This record gives sequence, C-alpha cells and structure tokens, in this order.
Amino acid sequence: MVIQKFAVILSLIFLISCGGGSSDSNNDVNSDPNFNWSIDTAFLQDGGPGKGGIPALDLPSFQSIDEITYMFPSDLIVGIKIGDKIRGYPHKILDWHEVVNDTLDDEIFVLSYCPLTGSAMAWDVNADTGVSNFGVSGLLYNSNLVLYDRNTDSNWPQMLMESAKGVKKGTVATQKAIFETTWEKFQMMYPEAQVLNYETGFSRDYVIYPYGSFKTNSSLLFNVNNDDDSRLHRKERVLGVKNGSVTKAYDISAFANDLDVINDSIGDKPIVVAGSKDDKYAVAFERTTSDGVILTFTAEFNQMPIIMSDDEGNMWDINGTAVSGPRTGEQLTIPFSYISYWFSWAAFFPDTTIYQ
Amino acid sequence: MNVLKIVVITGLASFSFNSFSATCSCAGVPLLNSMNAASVDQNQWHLNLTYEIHEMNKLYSGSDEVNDETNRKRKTDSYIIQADYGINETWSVSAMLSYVDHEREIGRSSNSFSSASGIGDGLVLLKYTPKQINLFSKWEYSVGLGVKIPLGEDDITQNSVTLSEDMQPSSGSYSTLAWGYLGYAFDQAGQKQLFISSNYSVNQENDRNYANGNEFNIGIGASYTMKERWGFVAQLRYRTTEADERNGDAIPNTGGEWVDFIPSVQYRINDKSGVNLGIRIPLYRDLDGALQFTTSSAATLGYSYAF
Repeated sequence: MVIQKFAVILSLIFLISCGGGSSDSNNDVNSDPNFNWSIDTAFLQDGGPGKGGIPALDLPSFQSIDEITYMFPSDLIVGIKIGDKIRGYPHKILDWHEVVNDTLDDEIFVLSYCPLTGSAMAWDVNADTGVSNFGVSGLLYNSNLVLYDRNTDSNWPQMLMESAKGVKKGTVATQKAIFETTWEKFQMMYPEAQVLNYETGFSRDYVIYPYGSFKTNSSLLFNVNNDDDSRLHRKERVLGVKNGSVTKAYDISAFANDLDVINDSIGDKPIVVAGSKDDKYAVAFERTTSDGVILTFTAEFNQMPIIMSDDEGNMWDINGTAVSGPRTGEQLTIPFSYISYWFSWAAFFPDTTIYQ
Repeated sequence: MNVLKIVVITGLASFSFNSFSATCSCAGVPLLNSMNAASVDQNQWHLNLTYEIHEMNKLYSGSDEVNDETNRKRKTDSYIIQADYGINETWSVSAMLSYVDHEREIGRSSNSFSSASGIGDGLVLLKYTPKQINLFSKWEYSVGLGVKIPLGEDDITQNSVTLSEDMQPSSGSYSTLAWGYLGYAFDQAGQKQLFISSNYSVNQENDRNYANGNEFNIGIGASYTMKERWGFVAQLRYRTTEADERNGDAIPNTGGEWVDFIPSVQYRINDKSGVNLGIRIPLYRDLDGALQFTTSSAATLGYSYAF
C-alpha cells in the first residue's frame, strides 16, 4: 500500500514536471538548404563558451620585437609576411582569442588559431568571403574552431577553410602563406617584425596556458572522428597537405634538427616541403611555377629566412618568396596545407598517409 | 506536524548542492536541496516544491575575479519536486525530480542566445535516522545512501549542434550519493539548533563519455525558530568538486572550491505547510584552471507540505 502510494506521488510529480515545459530539442532541418550543415553533425558540438564567448581581436595592437618581454625562446609564434612587412602572432595570445581580424599593407585577412587542434591559418577577406570581420562561433567540429563571419553569420570550420552553413555555404576561402616557428628563430629572422601584444582590451593572463596539459598529453576534450588512429601521438604536430582527395601528413619531429627539404608530390601535384625539428616549423609550396616550370629544391642552411634554393639558382625564403636569382620577387603557390595536431588532421582526413 | 519540523525542513531545503556541473563547475541543479532536511516521521509524507534562480556571470581565475568584457549572461532556473516518506521510526525514503531551464547569451555578440529546458535528473535516497531531536533527545543524526538517475535529455541540439554539457537539462549519467546530518538542539523545544550536513557524490560517465567531477559538500549552520510563524536558518557551506572528465581525462577549467553563506527565512502557513526564501552569498572561491565562470547570485523559494 505504501509503495503504491509512493509510486502514485512520484508519477504525479513526473506528470507535473512534464507539463511544465518541453525541451527545445530540434534538428532544425530548415527549408533553406544553406541553413543545413554540409558537415557530419555527429562531430559538431557546442564548446561551452557560446558565440563570441572567446573574444576575437578586432583591433589588434602590435609592438616591435625589442619591446616584447613575455616570450620565451621556445614559445611558438605565427608569422605572416605581406609585401615587406612582417607580423607575428604568439600562440600564447592566440590561445585566448583564436581569431585576429587584421590588415597589413592594405590586405585584409583573418588570422585564426585553434588551441584544441593546434592549427593556425590565415585567410584572405575578400569578395568571396564577404568583407567582414570574423568571430569565434563557440562551436567545434572535430574539436576544431568554427568561425563565423559577422556579415552573414555563416559558419566556417577552420580546418576545412570552407563555409559549412549559411549564405556562404560552399564558399572556399583563399589561404595566405604563414609560417610557425619558435620565438627565438622568429626574432633572428625578422628583427624588424611587429608582434601582437598584450594590449588586447581583454582581462586575460596570457602567461597561463588555458588548457592545462592538453597540448602534450593524449587526452581529447571533445569527441572526434577517427579518434583511434594511433600512427602518431595525438598531439604530434604535423604539416598536413591536401590535393583533391589525396592527403599526406609530415611529422615535424621527424625532420632533421636543422633543416630538411623534401621534393615530393601529392597526387598529381609536385610540392616541396621544408621543415626543422629544432625550429619547429614546416612549410609546403607547389613546385610548379606560374610559367609551368617544375623546380627541384635543395636545402640552404644557416641563412634563415632563406631555407632553400632551386635548380635555376634562385634562393627562396620561408614564405615561398624568391629573394635572389632570376625569379626574384616571385611567389610560390601554397597548396592546401597547415600545421595541426595529428589527431585533428586524422579526424578530418582519415585516409591520410604519413610521409616516411 | 510539529511546527519546528516544518521550519527546519523548509529552511534546510535551501541550497544543498548541485547535482551536476560542467564547463564552469557550477551550472548544475540543486537537486539534493532537501537532503539536509530533518527526518520524516513514521507513515508521514512530506512534499517540497523548490524554485531556484541561479546566475553564473562572475569570471574567476583561481580566487581572483576577472573582468568579463564579453558580457556573458548565464542563468539556470530549476524547479524541484521532492517527496519523502517515513517508513518507520528510523528509516525514510526520499525521491525527487527536477525540471530545468538553461539560458546563455554573450552580450558582445549578436544572435548568441541559446537555451534548453526539460526534465533533469531524478534522485532516490534511503535515510537512516537512529536519533531524532525530541523531548528526550537533544541530538539528531542521520545518514543516507542514494542514486541520482538521469531521467531527462542530455543530447539536446540546436541548429543541429549538440549543446554543451552544462546547457543540457540532465547530466545523462548515474551518480552514487552518500549523505549525513548531525543536529543539536540547545533547548527542549528545539527552537535553537546547530547542525552539520555533508554529502558526497561519485559521478559516472554519460553516453558522450563525459563525467561531472565528484563532489563533496559540508555545511555548518544554525536555526532559530520563533514560537509563532517565523524561523531563520544561516548556513556556511564549503563545496569542492574534482575536474570533470571525458574518456577519463580531466577537462581543464573545471573543478574548484567554494564557500558560501546561505541565510534563509521561513514562514509557517499552518501546522502542515510553510514557505522559505533563501539567498546564496558567495564568500570565497578558488577555481581550478585558468578561467571559469561561476555563481554571481542565487536565490530559492520553497514550499513544504506535510501530511
């Protein structure tokens, strides 16, 4: 009798609660196809901070290298060269903001970095993307930053470089050449560079890495595709290169301590990959020049930012710019490529091979 | 129904501890809010309805408050129904159910509002009370063991995106709970009492491999009951949680320690029912990781009915 009475009361409680409201669960299949995701939503998640909860930098402030006091020699920094101007974006600031809306030498671009996948990329902001600032959507796809543009609210998974939802869905952004290396090497290469500083307008302690031991341990904060691919340690930094459906990863720790230059191909595309284990960088360029010549490259040591020469006698720097020789001023094309943690490259491109 | 018991039950119903937490380690529902309550007499029923509003807009780095330039607004409204039944003089059983409404908005972003609502977690607790405060005893002690049951949804999506764990109505996981209570009355009528209450929960993983950090609470408080209709309870509560985990690995920026002061006032409507109003005043927090949002304000309104 008592049990029955208890059950009745519990049932009543349950019914009252059910009547109080309902979840707003929905799969949001919108009649406008642009508002349905083009990616597998099984690995699309709300990261928690909310849209704009990780604040993008819209008015970045820079200092000259000799004014920067907060960097250690082994700290990583993203560098971009446009015209003859160089800017550096330390990981320790990007960890907290992930997106920098910037202009250099009249070129508008967005510099994005996802601390959960270790991936940095720069995109042209142009008519294709829409001339807009970008922000951090608070969403993660395969644990990777999903940006949004503030003009149309379209979502752009960073590691795809393509809008996956919104009126820009299907639009592919144009990648700009960047490099990542240590602060020590960056200073040495570009002492005239301007470096993103702490004057961001946000109260953040940039000395502290916000994700504990994440960048070295083997844990994942979010579920990702192909999470059991153990060919490399999950947090090994690799340079991933993609040509059509063919993908290849270059393990940065497998490069020579000073410099390796690899004349390779990915699918039908001849590429050159240069990297250094000690200086923690890797860059990739197409070997085919604008006039159709396929170059073969050789490593050039101890001349950074020059890293390689070719069989025509040109010298090329880390940005893929010919700095001497008959092609001086010419720029090598970059393939779809960026550095990321191994687990994230493998999540996005499970069929990837690893350069041996 | 004893007047003092109505006051004590309704008073102690305020702010026990959160049933789950995620992301900011404070976004849970105070599901065990009645577990501090005194025991229920044999063959008696006790129903308790509680509403809590909980805002989590303070940003902390360790024990230091940090200015939040993003103007993030995070609020949870929860509605909890609890039923207690006294099996005999020493054993009683409690069951409860929650309904939860989460909201989140980032002030500096457009179209950033998110919300989710629905049935949250449920709980069943068996309590053993060998000693109760009465004419012959100034002491009361009670222990309990229970389980938290994920009754609601934990995979709500918006725009095809699964919301973060702290925005889900239910934790999606079972928890094992232990609870204890020690009370002392300074007078035969039990008008002035001191009490210590504590609880510990061990949380399992949900089907997204997420586990809220195990949690321990202990509170010390005093209650004073006026002879007519009013009563007052003041409690100092220490709460600590371990980091949340996914696949067994700790999630950064979760877990920490909190000390809150929780005053509440009770009004006895009649011999069978009473209402209470309480607020939670944060005194100290030391939160793990680099940055966490936590409670800025919280208040409860409760109604108790015994029969």
